[in-house]
Amino acid sequence: MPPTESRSPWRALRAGLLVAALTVAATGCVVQDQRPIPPVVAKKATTEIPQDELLDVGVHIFDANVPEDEKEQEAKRIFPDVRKAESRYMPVMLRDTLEGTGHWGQVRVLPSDSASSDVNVDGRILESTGRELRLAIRATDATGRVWLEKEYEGQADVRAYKDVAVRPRDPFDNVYATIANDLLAAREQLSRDERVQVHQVAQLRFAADLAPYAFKPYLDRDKRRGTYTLVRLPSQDDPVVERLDRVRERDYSLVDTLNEHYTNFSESMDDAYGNWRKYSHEELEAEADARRKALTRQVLGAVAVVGGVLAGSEANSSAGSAASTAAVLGGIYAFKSGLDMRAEIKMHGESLKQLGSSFQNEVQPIVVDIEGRTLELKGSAEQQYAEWRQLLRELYENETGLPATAATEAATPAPRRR
Amino acid sequence: MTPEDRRGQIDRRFDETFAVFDARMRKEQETISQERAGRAGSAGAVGGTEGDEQAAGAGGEAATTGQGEDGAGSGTEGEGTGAEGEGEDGEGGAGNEPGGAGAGDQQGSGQQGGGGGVGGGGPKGGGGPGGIPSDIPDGRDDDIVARQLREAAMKETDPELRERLWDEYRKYKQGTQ
Repeated sequence: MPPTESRSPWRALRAGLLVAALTVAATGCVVQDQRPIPPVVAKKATTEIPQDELLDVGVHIFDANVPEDEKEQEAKRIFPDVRKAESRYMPVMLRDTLEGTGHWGQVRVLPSDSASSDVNVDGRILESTGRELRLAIRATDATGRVWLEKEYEGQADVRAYKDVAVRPRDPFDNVYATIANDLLAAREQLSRDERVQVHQVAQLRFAADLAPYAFKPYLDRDKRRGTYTLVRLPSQDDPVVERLDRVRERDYSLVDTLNEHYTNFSESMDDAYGNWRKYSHEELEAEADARRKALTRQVLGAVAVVGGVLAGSEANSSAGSAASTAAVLGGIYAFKSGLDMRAEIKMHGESLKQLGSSFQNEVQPIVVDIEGRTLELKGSAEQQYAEWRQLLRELYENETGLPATAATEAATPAPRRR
Repeated sequence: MTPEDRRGQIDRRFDETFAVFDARMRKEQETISQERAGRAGSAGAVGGTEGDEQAAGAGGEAATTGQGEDGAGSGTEGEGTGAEGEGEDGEGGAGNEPGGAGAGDQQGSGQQGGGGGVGGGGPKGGGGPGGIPSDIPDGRDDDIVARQLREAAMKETDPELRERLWDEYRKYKQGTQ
């Protein structure tokens, strides 16, 4: 028998095995890396920061980023009330991380339309599952300077889902720590004078909002760039400044109360949210695993069929022919079992739907509650602020003898004080 | 009416509105505190039924270690941002947790007023503000964050919040060692 004929089935088999090995290697690349994620540590202060350089941070409740179209919600597995809850929960996590570093003054979670802090952090949830978190974060300071604007993403640290002694507080601690470190890096780029001025501008913007006729002249606003520059500081002996300081203390009291509401809210959903993320992580992993297996089986099955057919066409012996037939049959079976796994994938999809729906039902009442309470609080505070605006106006007119409106229009550089 | 009279009139209106606002905020914060305490209580009850033996052991220890040392806070003052609300006298209630014996007559401060002197004596002890649980080290090697946590815990009058602060302190110290 010529050597070429005797080697033919083995050559076909080797070729098939090589293709199969390459396929396994290629599909293996898709396998999720389950090694523990190295922790990112939020850098902590090692020296005391001078009081006038301590900047207050307002972390606004995030944009929940829920598509209006229900089909899109379903396709993206977004549960609107879950996202609404997350849009309040995640800022609390970021706040806690920032607070823990000791680099900042007061760090508070605030409604999205509050902008009276020295540094304001806004976020948008791009993706949030038990496996992955993606956020778009933008931070600006009171002068209008943009500190950072970028996307952050991270895989869940699965230790958070396990009943172990030492585990992260949140599966996405790394994301929050990375944001905290970036905010710190942005702050460190500022000079001492710039940091001090950020705080002063924040104070004056608050003052100018309540009493524009008296405080606008102290700030120069570049409307095109959206920035504010300090012109000069008002006298601390000014009677309007004194009263305004007392109003500001009430504003701090209001934002502290709102912040407490958000803390309370996050604590009340913490357990249920943790469980939801844990179980949805398991289902998502199982679904991804099933998808990988299905793909592998289908690809290997197809390769075996092709290899078997090729081997069969070249085989001249009965053994070679039998091997090629076996390869074709095995390939068909593997391909079919890959297709059959679609049922398993679908089952995991349904489980995820059920989990999301169930958690949504659980969290919805507390979302409605927090929305209602913060709105009510802000609403009644607004009425009070309107009264204080009026009193400040009357005081200003009494002290300067100038009509407040005229002073605003003229934007006089230095209002006369008694 | 002279400008001084007019100023006095405006100030009185400021004071009235501030008082109303402060009362509203105080009430709101009390409600939040109660909700948090209620939740912690129910969580504690669940924990108690789940770990009988451990809880009994810890409780016994707490009864002997609950002690009220004077707060020795130093360094920076807490950055109080609360309203000027005049503090009301603390009610000096007895701790409602096992082993708790509150030290009363604390002077409330800040916008929340009152609430001082609520007894501690949770599983890890500590009565009233300034009480240091027995498992807390002396703090000589504290860094700035640990020091802030320690000071906040020592100043805290709410036993639940105080215990949470000590927990944060323990966790932080564990993480830095």
